[in-house]
Amino acid sequence: MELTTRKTKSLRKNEIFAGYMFILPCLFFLLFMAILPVFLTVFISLTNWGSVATDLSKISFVGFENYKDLFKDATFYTALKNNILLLFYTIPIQLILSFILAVLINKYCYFKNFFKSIYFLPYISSTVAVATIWMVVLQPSYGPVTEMLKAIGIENTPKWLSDLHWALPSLSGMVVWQNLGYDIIIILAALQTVPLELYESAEMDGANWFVKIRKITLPMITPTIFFLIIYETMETFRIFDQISVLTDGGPGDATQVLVYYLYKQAFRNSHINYGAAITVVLFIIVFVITLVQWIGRKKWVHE
Amino acid sequence: MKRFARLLSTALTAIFLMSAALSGCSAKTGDTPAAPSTGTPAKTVTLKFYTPTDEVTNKQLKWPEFIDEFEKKNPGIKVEMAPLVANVNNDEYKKKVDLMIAAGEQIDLVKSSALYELTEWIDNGVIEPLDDYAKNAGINLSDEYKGVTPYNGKIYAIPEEITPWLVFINKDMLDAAGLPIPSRDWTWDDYREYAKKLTKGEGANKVYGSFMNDWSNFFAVGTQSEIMDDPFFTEDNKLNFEHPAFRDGLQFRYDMENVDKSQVPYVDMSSQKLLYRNQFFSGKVAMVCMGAWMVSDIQLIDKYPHTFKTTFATYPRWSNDSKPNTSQLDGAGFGWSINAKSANKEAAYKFLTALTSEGLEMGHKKWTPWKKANSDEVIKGIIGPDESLYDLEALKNVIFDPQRVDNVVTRSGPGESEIIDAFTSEAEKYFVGGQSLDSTMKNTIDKANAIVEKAKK
Repeated sequence: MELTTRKTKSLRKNEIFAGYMFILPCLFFLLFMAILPVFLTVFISLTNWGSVATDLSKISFVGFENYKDLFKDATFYTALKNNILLLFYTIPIQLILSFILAVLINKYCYFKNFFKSIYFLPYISSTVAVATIWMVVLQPSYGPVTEMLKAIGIENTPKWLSDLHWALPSLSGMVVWQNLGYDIIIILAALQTVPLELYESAEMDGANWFVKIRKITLPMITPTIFFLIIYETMETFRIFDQISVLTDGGPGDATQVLVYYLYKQAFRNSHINYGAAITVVLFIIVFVITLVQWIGRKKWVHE
Repeated sequence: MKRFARLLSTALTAIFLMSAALSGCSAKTGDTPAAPSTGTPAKTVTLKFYTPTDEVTNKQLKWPEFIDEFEKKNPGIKVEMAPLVANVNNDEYKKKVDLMIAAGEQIDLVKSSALYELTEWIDNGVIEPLDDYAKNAGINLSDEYKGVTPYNGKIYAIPEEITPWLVFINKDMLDAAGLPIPSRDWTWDDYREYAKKLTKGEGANKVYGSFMNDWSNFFAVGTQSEIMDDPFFTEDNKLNFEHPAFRDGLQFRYDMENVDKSQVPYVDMSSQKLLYRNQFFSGKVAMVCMGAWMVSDIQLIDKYPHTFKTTFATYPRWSNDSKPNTSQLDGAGFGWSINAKSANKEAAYKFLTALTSEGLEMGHKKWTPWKKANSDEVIKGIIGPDESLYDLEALKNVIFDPQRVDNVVTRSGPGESEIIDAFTSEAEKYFVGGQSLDSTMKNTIDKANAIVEKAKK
């Protein structure tokens, strides 16, 4: 009895050891490539380290100076506002559209796989290619969209990407179009998990299609929708490449967002410390929003 | 604080090494010999020469041949040339150089591609002044080169290429409109008249008379010739936005776009990312204001198919009082420098001066800063064997005009790059019709003041 326990104990020890050995390479890279930079970022945001090439002996702690500057910086607030506006411009439309399309593709149409691929295509296309197409579509003086609006009698068409008020909505349009496919695929997968007998019994009770969707489908896939909301929120806060390719944050600061602004500050204007401070603030904002969503999920997510 | 610095540098080095190892470029740093500071010829010094251009470009410039010759002439110095980036990419190059310097890697020559980049490096103690080396060699750098300018009384860099600005004109369109080649002393008002007369058509097929790119130096065109040295700061480091050339210049561009409709609208330009070369060579615009670097593109008919001849005019004057053919000298004041941490500075200086004189002379592909260069050969090298697309006489008249005034930017004020950003973004709002001229000027000045205040802290 005693012998066997000791044996299992040492066996278990061995197994644990082997397990650690297996995750070691991965852990090593994670530590150096992800965790360490995170702490370094916090560190750097508290220093006066501007240019990367600064002699390291000249670097010193400045406490919360960078943060004080940041909270006085008008461009920072503009970028934050644009980020939040983007949340409202993209996520609701994206979710509603992708839900409708997913339900249609799932049940009410032929060539399912064809449509799945078609909608997924923009998601896997290069952002540069997608952006170039949208640039042409949204040509402000004689582009197809502008001409179409003019043809139905609208004068004073917006200047789209170079219009102070329309730049952000235009950009959101592209983002929604680009990410729609991803949401559709995820929701389609979720739809497969809804048990068919629920629909059958509902039909027996005489429920029509609307009631079925409203009372069965929607509640059953709330965990997926919850996941999508969190995921898309983070993605929206991290938006960078579309901005970089399409507008460079312009015109003026109309499409300035946090990640683009921190890139500009850190690498173009050589304020690594300031960029790091923006990163930390961005992290806190996303963390808080996610936390609120996480707490709020009990109210509506089906467990 | 020492400890903190060491901690930081250890972490940085670790990250840098990891990324270097991961990306597969095994950075060998071990085999460099100790530097012979006295210059004993017995030991071989190896210089690391990293370029912001790729190998193909370097070959076009004939740098490998030049390095062979240099090594023959200077036994004891070996030069290892390697591109640091794909294609030609100054931003990426600077980022990598910054990291290499921070990690203490050997890099003997560094190249800056804007004055504020260089001054930022100098302020951080990264760059070695060249004066003492020039004195030892018995030469005066400003006698040898155009566009070398001191910063805080010392010379830190030798340019690789310096280019004046000029106006490129489609000669077919000029002839069709019955206009003569503009005179040497034409003004921006004349330019505006020319642009009006050269504009034709409507909608997608419209040919615009003028293309001024969406760069901040074209937002207020007069500043280049009207304000000597740095347009954004006065000599005593005060902001210069009160200068009338800014306000009037903005209005000038706005009117050309919206009243005359003879300049490609800013909204089209920025939202479509219109490229000045494509626009000009495909015949969508008749005149382009650009730096002389575009001269060499005219011969590339595979890349830019076109049949018309290009003629050239001086950069116009803003007011009647200013001297004709005045423009900034792009590329002056910055360029190749020596890393202050280099162990082989003597050798690096030798290579640096050879590169910027004979090295450039060999390829004849750049507007060399070297005063002893053969100007006929330079022109020939730049335009290539076929002259048929060039109005060569006009080109020479503009570039080798003995009375040309080179406006060299030697100063740069606190937070200059951010101030240019602020000016750009406010001017953009004006050009897309988002705010009035008054508030544009007011916002620019407010933002710039805040930046200066922060930079001075």
